[in-house]
Amino acid sequence: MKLNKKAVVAAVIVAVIAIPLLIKAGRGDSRKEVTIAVASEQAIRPTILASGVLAYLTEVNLTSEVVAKVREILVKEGDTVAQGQLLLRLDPETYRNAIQREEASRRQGVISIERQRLALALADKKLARGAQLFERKMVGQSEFDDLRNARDLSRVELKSSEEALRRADAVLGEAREQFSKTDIRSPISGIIVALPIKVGETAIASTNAFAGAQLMQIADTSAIQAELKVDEADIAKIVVGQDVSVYAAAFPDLALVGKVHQIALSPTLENQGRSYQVTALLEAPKDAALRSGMSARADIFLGDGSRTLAVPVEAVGTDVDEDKKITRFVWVDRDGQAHKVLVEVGLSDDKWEAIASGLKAGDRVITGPGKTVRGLLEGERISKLEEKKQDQAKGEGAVAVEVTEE
Amino acid sequence: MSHLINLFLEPGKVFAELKEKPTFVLPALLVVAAAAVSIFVYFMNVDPDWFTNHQLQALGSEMSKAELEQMSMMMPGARTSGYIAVASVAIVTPIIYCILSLYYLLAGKITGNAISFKQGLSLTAWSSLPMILASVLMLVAVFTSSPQSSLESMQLLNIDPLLVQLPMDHDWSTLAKSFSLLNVWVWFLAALGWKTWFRTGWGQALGVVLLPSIVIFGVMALIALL
Repeated sequence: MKLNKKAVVAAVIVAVIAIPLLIKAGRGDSRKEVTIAVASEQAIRPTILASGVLAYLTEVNLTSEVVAKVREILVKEGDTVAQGQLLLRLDPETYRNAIQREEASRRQGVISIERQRLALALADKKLARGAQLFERKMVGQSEFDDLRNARDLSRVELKSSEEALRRADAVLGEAREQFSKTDIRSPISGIIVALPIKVGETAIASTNAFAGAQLMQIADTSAIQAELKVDEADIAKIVVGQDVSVYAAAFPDLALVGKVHQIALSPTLENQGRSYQVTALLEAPKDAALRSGMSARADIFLGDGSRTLAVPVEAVGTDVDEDKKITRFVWVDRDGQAHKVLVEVGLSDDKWEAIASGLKAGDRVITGPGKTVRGLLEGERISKLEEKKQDQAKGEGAVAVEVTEE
Repeated sequence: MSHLINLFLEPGKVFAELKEKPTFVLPALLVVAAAAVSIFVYFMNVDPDWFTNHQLQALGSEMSKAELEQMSMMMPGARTSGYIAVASVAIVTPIIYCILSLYYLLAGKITGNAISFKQGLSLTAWSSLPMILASVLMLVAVFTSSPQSSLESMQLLNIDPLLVQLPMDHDWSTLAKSFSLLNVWVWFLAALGWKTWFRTGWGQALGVVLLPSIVIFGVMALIALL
């Protein structure tokens, strides 16, 4: 009986020690759970983000060249107009009066010339008669000189009147031109996109944004462009012809593709920051009601999208030594152990970072979770995080990772 | 010496003898020594770099790399931590024994059972003898596990890691990592001792013995719940 009791107690003690060890052995050694991605060829398209507005390719702001009340508007917003079509009439009365005044002035000039011609003819006759009398010594030298001087004065006065007539002609022409400017005609074929002026308001000859300065805006809506502001730090990377995807605020899911068309040579100052205007010509789809002035953001693609060996950006870490020398590395899974591998990186985009050297296609790189990766040691044992746990980690705001398997 | 074996075979008889001649030095020394040795062996065996890293991650996941490096300079290494832990065990365990003995003294007054401080120490020390098994198990675990394992994961009789494996920041992690299944055995022995000495029922004996643990683990559970 006593033996049995000893055996039972011994068995209990052995069980207390053995069972936990067996459970531990069955569970395996603890390993750090990580997400793993496979290094493979990916299309990397680094982008520069820019914001700006959409604008019609050809857009004209019509302003008045004369100051006058608007008498009649012959179009309304949205109308299609042809080049040279009469759009708006200003009150011409003032300018018509000016023409009449200048015409009267011109007629006076003509009369004046006739009078001067008659006076010259008379002076010529008097001089001829005076010359005959002077030859016969019937008049003195002094009288003859007076006659000749009178003739010369008449000539000069005639010339003066002729010049006055030319001046009157010019002033009349100017008055007529002013008069013609009271009829506003369309300089291009397009659509009236804005019509801020109303009948009765006074059109002002100004390019400033005064009320009445802008009569209407006409645009060729068949082609649209994006006017983007690119930060000066990025502008050196932009060249004409690069692909652009533009997203209008009103159509956030519609990518308007296009190409960089023009890059401004001088910067625009804005809130103490400098940016350069980059114009991109867009291929606008017919069914999207895009409008000039819509806010837009744009991705300007720097690379050509060719495929190259790459890993997820979160897999690449950075070390800075005492000499400020920067080295880039990734953690690679080799037979369940983490190994640090120095790499040279190339282009990168939001998702992928190109690897120029250090890895080969098929290498399993550790991508997360961030907290675990930060604490990894050379040779540390790791295991792949189960997908369910990955989802949970994502839900808890951990580093979002996408795992690709070979 | 025979008590050491008989405690496992005939604990009632051992406690009956201990009432007359209460001793505590041997079991207390054994428990402290076993715990100290197992902990010391763990710290000598663990990968020092890994241990530092593990400690830092447990401290603050939001710290920057520079802050972590600064912190790692200030923190004691694995070996130093081992000496500190051994010293702590050697100091703290006798203090806990004394506190429990005082508690038994107080409980004896309340329940009308005359118990001396020495008897209290004896009851505490002998009833905690099964804790040696935890230390033995830990020694085995240390030698059979990777050097990159945490101290908690070596305490195989605790709820965590035996039954569950909770992350460090889990609400119930502290309780699960603190509660050893051997406590049940310890409680049983202490209650048996009390029952044997004072011829009380199991109810009073268990009530007296469990009260401190209920308070300690109850507070942990409350913290976890809140």
